[in-house]
Amino acid sequence: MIKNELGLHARAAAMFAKKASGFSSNIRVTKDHTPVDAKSIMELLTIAAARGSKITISANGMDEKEAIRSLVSLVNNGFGEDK
Amino acid sequence: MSSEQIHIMQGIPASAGIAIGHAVIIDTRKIERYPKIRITEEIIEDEITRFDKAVEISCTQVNNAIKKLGSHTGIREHSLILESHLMMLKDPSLLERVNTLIRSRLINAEWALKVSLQEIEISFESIEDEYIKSRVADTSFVGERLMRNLVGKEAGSFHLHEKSIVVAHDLSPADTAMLNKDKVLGFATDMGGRTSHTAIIAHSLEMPAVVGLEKATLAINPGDRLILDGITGTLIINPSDPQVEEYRQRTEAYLSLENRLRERAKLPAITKDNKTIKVKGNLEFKEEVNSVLEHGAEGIGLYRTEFLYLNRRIPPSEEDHFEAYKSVIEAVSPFNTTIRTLDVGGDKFHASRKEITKEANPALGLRAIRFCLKETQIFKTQLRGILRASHYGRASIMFPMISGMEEILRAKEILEEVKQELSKEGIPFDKEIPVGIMIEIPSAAIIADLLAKEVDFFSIGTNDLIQYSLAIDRGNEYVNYLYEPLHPSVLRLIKHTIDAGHSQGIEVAMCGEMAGREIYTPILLGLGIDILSTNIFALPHIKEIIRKINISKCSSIIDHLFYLKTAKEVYDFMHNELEKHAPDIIR
Repeated sequence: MIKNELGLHARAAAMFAKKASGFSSNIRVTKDHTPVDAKSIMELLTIAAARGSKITISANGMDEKEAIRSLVSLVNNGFGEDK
Repeated sequence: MSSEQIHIMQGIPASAGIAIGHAVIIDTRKIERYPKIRITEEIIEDEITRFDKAVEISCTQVNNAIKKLGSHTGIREHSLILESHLMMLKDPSLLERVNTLIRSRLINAEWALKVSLQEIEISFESIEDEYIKSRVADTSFVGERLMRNLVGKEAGSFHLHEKSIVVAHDLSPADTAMLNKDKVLGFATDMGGRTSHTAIIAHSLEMPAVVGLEKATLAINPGDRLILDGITGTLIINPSDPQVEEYRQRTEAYLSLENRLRERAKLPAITKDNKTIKVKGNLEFKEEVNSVLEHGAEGIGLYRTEFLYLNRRIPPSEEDHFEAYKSVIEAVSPFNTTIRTLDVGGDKFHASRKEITKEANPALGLRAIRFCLKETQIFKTQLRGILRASHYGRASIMFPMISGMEEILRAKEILEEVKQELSKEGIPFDKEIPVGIMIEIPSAAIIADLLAKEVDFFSIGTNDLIQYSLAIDRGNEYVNYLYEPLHPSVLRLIKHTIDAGHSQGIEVAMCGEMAGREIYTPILLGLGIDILSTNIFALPHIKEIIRKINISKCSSIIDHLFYLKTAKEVYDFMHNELEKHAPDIIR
């Protein structure tokens, strides 16, 4: 669940995509049955995940477990916006 | 020849200073024409390499801008915007899409890029969230940069052979950060406002700038001689030699005055008859606070908090408020920071909320304290943030747009609830935090004697007080000639407010534009104002003028003002008096 105030806005999306790009796995984010590439800031923006909306993160590849763990913690920590 | 004609344009002054030099036009507008070419299979790889190269150059340019900004403190927010641009440039879905289009449709890189950008634009159009939808501006900044580097029309770096004045349709924050102070004397743009990111960056680079000129890029030809006055917002194209000479002298006078005033800015403002007038600064963005203090502010008389609410769908969190206020209160300490609660309507950040319907008359509608008393949760969050921050120095709370007694009582009641909550939670705050109101609605000024019993201070907001008293919209070109600070009715409202405050023993401040204009200072002091809060540029000037004033003399002529029937009579009278007693004030 997206916890930060602004939702998955430009800066949060940039952080998300940046973190995702650090993994070799193929990572997808799904909201309302629309999957997008987690490494693409533009695709992330188009799913317009506002605060409180639910997203699903799935990964497939060598570092899939680590990728999901680190992205989920980024989301759960509200992208470091709320202390 | 038209190019030799003198032409004067008026824009918005964004960064003070005067520049005289030749124009360099930088075309930052969208590239509408780009080559569309069908390619053969043999050159597919060449096109892809060419595109990759454009991406690489674009990344380097944005990275350079980030580095450049990094050396200027206090603008981290802006580098974060640039970092998201960088991620967009590296966006795999964009890069792959262009790649696929080149291979499958056999089209050149520019064409493929344009198609991809259009696809992105379309997918953004269907987004319901207004905030995210507006981010399409970022993707188009990025798309433009890529296209320019692909076409070879590079706008990101400016190779200037001599010191020039840059003229552009619009400058992105990244473009502005890249302007080299050794080569760029100043800049003028068609777009932009006083508080745009671009203006703030120009100010922190101390580079003269005029924005919002609307048609500068059409009116100016490359190489035209220009005078750019970032103090008044005037731009003169092809000035005559005497004009250039005049402005050269003005520049010198400006610089020597600025230096002299800067040196004296931090000294107190004491009148000739030994009364100290507190001069404070108005603050919009927390990044500016050190600069405001450098200019001699003895506290912040008006900290506008609207920036926290703009460009977002959901109101800021308590932490957002707390952080923004704490950093300013700490920087301003031991002086006081007066924090004004939200002064806009809900439409500004609730664009997606359907229950807020368009108001026919927003200036007279649900905004400021009215909005806060309706949406008490939003109000309480802000009050909690202010109270918590008050623990870290000296702060006051100021409610805007008060029209009568009930609003003060209700606002204070809510404040009391918040205080009790904090006490229960054991969170420290200033229990004696002063509470004041803006006097900006005529009804409040008229019953100021009653309101003074309920608050710790008044602050007169002249911009709105004048607009509401005279029933004119200043932004309306047909009636703005009626905007007149010296209108006898306005002077009477100000006098009544100050007298009412003093009879209850509370201080009366003024934070509107009138407080920052030297011509009005003798009148305001004569009327008995205690505190003037002005914009950053006016600060040293107002302090200096106060040092030349004798209040007892001002008071003795003030009574006469109230026999005068028009604003013009008041102005002429003041002008004459000053000419007689203090000619250097009006010069």
